[in-house]
Amino acid sequence: MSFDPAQLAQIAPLLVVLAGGVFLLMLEAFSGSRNRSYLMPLTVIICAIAIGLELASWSDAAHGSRVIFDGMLTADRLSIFMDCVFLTAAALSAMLSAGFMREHRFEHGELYPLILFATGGMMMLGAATSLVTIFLGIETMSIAVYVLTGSWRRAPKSSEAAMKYYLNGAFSTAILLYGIALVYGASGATGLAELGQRASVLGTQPIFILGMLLILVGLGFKIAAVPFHMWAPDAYEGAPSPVSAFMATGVKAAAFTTILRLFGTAFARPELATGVVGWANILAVIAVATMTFGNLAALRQDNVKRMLAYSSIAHAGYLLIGVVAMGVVGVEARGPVLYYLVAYTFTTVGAFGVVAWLGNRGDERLQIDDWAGLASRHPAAALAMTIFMLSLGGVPPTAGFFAKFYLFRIALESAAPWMLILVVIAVLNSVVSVAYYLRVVTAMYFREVGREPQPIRARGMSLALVICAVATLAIGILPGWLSDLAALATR
Amino acid sequence: MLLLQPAVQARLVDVSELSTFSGARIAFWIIAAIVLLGALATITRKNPIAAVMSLVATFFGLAATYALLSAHFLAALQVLVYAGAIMVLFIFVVMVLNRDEVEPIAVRGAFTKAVGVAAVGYLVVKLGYQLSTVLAPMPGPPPPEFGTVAQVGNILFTDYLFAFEMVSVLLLIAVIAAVVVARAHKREESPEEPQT
Repeated sequence: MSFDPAQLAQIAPLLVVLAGGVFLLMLEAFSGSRNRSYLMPLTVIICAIAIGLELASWSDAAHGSRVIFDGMLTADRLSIFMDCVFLTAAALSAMLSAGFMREHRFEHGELYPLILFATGGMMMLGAATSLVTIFLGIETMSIAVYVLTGSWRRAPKSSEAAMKYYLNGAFSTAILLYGIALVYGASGATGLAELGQRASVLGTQPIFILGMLLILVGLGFKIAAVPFHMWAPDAYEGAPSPVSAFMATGVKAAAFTTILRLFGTAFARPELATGVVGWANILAVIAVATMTFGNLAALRQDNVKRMLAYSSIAHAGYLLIGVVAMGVVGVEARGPVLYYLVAYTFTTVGAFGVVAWLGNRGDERLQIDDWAGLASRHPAAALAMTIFMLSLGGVPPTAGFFAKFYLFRIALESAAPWMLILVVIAVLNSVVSVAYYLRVVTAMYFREVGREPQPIRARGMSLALVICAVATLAIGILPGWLSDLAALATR
Repeated sequence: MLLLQPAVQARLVDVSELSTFSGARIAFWIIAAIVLLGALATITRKNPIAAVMSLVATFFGLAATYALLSAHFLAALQVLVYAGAIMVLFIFVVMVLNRDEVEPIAVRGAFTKAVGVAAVGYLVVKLGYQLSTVLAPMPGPPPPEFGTVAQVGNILFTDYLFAFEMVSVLLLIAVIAAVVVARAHKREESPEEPQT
């Protein structure tokens, strides 16, 4: 089939984001001015236009998914929903970046285009229904994020983080590609729907299974699941805090969308999901290892940013329960995962945002002692951080509570005894996690001020934090509409 | 990807009907030996230049394999891009770094080595067994126009146009990334950054 230009209209948001990235790049290069404060609002506007285009196509997508470019991409509600999540994460991260980069003196024009390009990669990944586009999306996203990680050139930790992230990322890409090659070699198909059909003929052919598992490992690196998490704490800690926020939310959400699509369509057959080497069984073990390890390691951290990094590993573990549930009860388990990703995105961007906000001129205040007595100096920021911590710990009435509630409920629907065990372990883990989240809260409220906090004063940053805090509360107090939307997005 | 599919089938024919002799089959085994020995030498040579040159042998062997599979255009690309351009880059990097000869595989301790050998052995046995069982004869040689520049171009600019364009976006990002990483540090430390 030949290329139909009319199909370009269906990927308009993706084109807007990519063209916006190129536009900002050229604008910065030719403007000649050293003042770069106009780039952040433009980035946010580009994201907002893309979100508007996505929302405009929401009702069209009701009539079933639209297959674009011979099955390379699909514009369905899942992709629209997740694109909005990526774009929101990108816009919030850009708002945080502006103040942070100006304060720490590394505001370069390329960073905003790179955020947009990375978002473009995520959007491609969110809509990808072919192994070819999955690979391209992952690479587009990852390469941009590697550079963002290392963008704070004067901080040695930033370069170290970028190096570790890059090497691990390259390694995981090789594994992913090998898996794709084996799956293709066994089935002769790259489209996910076609793969799903051929899987019934192939059954449990070893080469096919091996390819599937290698793809799983490759994606496991991207979501930082144990035992593929080694890079994550260093990368998240070393990266500039707004970039850490972007990595922990956008990249992870994009990888999870791919996992949902890939294992929900191509490898959805029961013998592939819950057979002897079924992916659901393997993911169940990985989920337990991921949340347990993440939480236990986070307990021992005195560095708030590193604690958030381990907490983000633990949350990947909770999210994997939803993926496992999808293997057992079917695609309706995607809804709670989407809800969780939204809640987690606002909360995590907010938490990393407060970390970015506290600290000035090359001096990041990351130790928990630096947070002592923050409530008496900056009550609003302390309140926001408290909301984020409670939400990450899953305490009502925040978004994190309902996220976990819906996730565990769908997992229990399968009525399999091992799913029950999984949920019990997850609940125990959530209880443990509250301990280290509350440690930050008690430091802020019940300890004397140690070092006088000198936070960054930037309007964009404050606005982003307010948006995150309000959204975290709003999703938690009125959970119904978002969970309905998420359920619609999975049809 | 689609353009490789008949190639996969052709390979299956080659390997599964080994009992009958033909020039192509003998050539296949010789080339396969070159590919594997080159790959082995790449990871075992201590001298980086020797390792890189062994990789050249592997790349040429792969190109010959593609030619055997009637993918002549792909074979030409393999020689031009991998055996040519990418190898030159490798050698440049080796020359620029100018490292001493070091142990290529830094695995220490008897236990680590034992685990490594066991894991690799297990993988080889398993993969070998699977590969020997999976190959079923598939029908027919590829159509005569298969693997020509015209056909590859046709598929690339119709079915795979989106992927092709996205690769160019990916390359653009890689170029920007390289510029950002390679840029001199100096500018960002200059004091005349705007105060806001």
